[in-house]
Amino acid sequence: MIDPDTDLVTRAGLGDRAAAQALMARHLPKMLTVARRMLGSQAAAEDAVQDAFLKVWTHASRWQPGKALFETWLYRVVMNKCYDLLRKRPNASLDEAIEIPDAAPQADAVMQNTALGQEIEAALAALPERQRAAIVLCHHQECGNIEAAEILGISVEALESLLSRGRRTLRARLAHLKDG
Amino acid sequence: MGNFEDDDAMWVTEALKDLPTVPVPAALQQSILASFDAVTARRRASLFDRFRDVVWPGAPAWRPAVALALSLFVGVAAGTLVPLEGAMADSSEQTVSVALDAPPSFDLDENS
Repeated sequence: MIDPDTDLVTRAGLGDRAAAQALMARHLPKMLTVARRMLGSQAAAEDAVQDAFLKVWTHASRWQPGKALFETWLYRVVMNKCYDLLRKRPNASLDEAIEIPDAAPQADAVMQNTALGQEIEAALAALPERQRAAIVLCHHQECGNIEAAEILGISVEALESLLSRGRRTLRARLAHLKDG
Repeated sequence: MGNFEDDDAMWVTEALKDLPTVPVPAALQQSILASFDAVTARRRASLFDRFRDVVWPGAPAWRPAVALALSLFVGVAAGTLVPLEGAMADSSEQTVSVALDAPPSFDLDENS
């Protein structure tokens, strides 16, 4: 298993700033997207990703290639940060945390697209966190089932079960948008 | 059963394409790089601490620094003051040795 990030991680561990910058440019957009979908808030997603990269810098000098792909490990770190932040939210359900758009029809097409995106985001946020994580990794980040299961620390069968339930719920909640 | 699953999967993949893209703020990138700089600086500082522990285990940083400064001062003082007197004393006793049995380096009769 060849990890395309090994060289950059090793160099970053030796204090090479350019390598750290390249590593960040390669992974930050994906990680921020996952965190945003998991947490439903840009500010919280930025906090999670920043903490995750701090962990990368701290562990880079001890990175052992061959155990797991760097990207898989980084996804796992970001996911764990997201779970931590979700648990720290005081009695706030995700439905409250996300702005749910008004269902009234919008005149402007741009506004309609924004509203559609927000409605999908809200439906996603309302899923249980494990189902949401599975859906985001497999359907939004295009991870394979084996990689997603490894990121979430579960078996492939358990992942498939989460995906199945998540898809059904999501489709039922958003049926009025796409099926009609 | 499998068909329903595939249908749901395709439906969800399509639906998630309508999600807005997540912008990556420049301030976040700078902040992440700043954290890299801080970690690197801390790691270098800890290397210095390890070296100091080898030189003088368990001592606070000012002790080896004072010891080094003192030894530098003594060395520089000795280097500037002592050799002057020594050099003066030695120069009076300097002798030039000429080898009397060496062949002459010129010939007075070369044109005759």
